[in-house]
Amino acid sequence: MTEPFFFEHDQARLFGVLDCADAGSPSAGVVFCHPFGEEKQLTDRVFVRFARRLAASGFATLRFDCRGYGESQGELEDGTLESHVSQTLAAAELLKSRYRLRSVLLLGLRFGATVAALAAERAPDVSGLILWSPIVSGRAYARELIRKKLAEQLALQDQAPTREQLLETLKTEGRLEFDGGYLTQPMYDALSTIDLPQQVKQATSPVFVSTIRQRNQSYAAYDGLVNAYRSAGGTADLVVAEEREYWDVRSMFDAFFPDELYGATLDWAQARWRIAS
Amino acid sequence: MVVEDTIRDFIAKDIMQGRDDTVLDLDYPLIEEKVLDSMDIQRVVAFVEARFGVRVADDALLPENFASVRAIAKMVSEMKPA
Repeated sequence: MTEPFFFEHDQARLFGVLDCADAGSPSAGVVFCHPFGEEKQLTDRVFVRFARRLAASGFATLRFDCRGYGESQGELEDGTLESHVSQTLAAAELLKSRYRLRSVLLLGLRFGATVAALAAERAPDVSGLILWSPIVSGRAYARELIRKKLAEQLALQDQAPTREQLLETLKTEGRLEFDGGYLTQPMYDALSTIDLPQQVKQATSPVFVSTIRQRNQSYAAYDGLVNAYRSAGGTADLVVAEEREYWDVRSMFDAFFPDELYGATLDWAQARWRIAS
Repeated sequence: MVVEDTIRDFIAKDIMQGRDDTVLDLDYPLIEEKVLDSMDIQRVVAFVEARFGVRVADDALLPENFASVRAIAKMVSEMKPA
């Protein structure tokens, strides 16, 4: 069963979609946390397909659009790191009460994975985390966003600004046109302060972290994150696939998600919640 | 020559993926002909950094450095290993 609906959060109507098997009662739920900006649109089908697969395996799932995305009210620039976290917690509560679930996991991709991890720090009753290529260093991610903007200008053959000029625009105007919306100074500042391994305090357990590795790129940051969860007393697993990035594949209709990560995530979830496929 | 061929192979196989019949010669105008968009440029940067051990600084993200395979190769060849 797939059920689109709206729910209220902080004076905004947010759009969500529930997926659940037609028969039986789900014993666990999964809330999906989407990436930032254009990556959200480009990975919609990854989420749709995985949510439906989880639903067929006996999980209840909730995908939702944060404020300013998709069918939800507001603009991209309304979003702050804090608002993404609070919307995620509201979605988790909604899913939990809707199906009277004992266990709700948060699943996120890239920025969404980081939001999921930060939300779990505030909600000890989150039963587990599935983090697909989380943003571990916000500072590096903020640099990446500015570099993306520079590449955009280059591709348009515009008069290419420098990084310093873009940051100055962000500072003086409070926002920068980004992915058809705006990246705001508060969001940029909040992103820059993320240091996920340092922010892990809760023994949220279990945690599944997956990422990809291209051309011998280092994944040490993910090791650091997994170790942080273990040091906090939780259990955490890391799966690394030799694959290309899947969150910027431009076909929104032909989602690409590495089979290895897809299967590993599903096996991990099914094994821990003992839900038959 | 090796650098140029490596970059050309990457663009032809990983980015263009046979989406048109363009024969990618070294001077084919990649930006002008919309072969590379902003995401592709980031991919090219990630590729050359990993493949050739260089660091492409933000101030190197200029149209003239990505105008063609030859231009990208020239930029890479002039960089010191990271």
